Amino acid sequence: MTFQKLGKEFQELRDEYRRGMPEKLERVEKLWAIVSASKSAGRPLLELCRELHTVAGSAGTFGLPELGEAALAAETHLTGADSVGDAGRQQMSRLIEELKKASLPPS
Amino acid sequence: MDPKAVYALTAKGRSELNSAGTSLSAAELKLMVLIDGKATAARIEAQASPLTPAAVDEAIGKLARGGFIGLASDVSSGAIDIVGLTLADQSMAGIDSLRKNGYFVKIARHAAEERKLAKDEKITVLVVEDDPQLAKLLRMYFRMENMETRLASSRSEIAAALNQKPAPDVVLLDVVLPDVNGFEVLQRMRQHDAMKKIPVIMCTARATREGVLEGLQHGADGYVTKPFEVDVLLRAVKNVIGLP
Repeated sequence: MTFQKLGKEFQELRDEYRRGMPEKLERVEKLWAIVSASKSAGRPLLELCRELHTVAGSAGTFGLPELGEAALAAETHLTGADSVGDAGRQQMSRLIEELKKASLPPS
Repeated sequence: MDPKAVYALTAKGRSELNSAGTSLSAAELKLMVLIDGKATAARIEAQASPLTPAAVDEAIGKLARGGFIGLASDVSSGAIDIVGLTLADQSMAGIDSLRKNGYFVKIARHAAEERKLAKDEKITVLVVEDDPQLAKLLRMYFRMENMETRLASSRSEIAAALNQKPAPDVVLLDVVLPDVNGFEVLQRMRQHDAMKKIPVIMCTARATREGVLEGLQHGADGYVTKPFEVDVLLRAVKNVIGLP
């Protein structure tokens, strides 16, 4: 495989990654809606942390470091929490907004 | 060793933990991760179990002589900084705390012996990764290096890929997976006669000192935190296999 072909394949993968991001973030928002509405979030909280963890791990490699950082901040915010208080909810809502902003293509 | 002494990593020490190719022993690496510029030597010794006090003493002396660590008072920057992340907007909520908590490393121990490939022999890399695009990206790069890639993302796929012949030459192992924990997989591999010698690099977004220690404790040959640059990961893979 040539570097030229590799560059093209990488670009395609990066585009695919970006295209899939709105769906991923929609899932994050849905999970967060469940978590924030319940007193003890259990499984949805675990799933939310896992979704954020995945984005935190991959976004930087696909050229979206700010998205990765925002996902890591959100994951860190939730990790270890059985439930999230009012202040925590507001903070998490802000982080989700940051996630959405960071996922947008550069204008 | 003065039990009250506080050690910190030097610039050379920090660089070693991010070199993706270290010749330090497992014990020395463990101590490098434990040394945080705050804990006393006595506390490090207590946390370094099952290493004996004599082994800790010897390893700390060796690290100090090698210039990897020094007394905290002598080292200008104490604890490990975030490496490899550029924080574009530090005003972002929550990001500041990461500067204090993130522990980003690129550790890979050199294989004891150099590996020479026979003509047409190919290295097989097992990539355990539940992000399909990241897995594809790695496969693409390994293909360019003339390496075969096997992908797995769940307990059953991991078992099948490990049992497939030929055995993988190296495993890149994520920690947070849908139905199994990567540390558990590593632990099982290290207890298995046919798999215990296969080099394993933990490749994870779990960027914590505890995570790195857990990986090294269970016998990982490397620990690369995400996000990573693919070149660095390739170098880590070659180093643990013994390829030039």
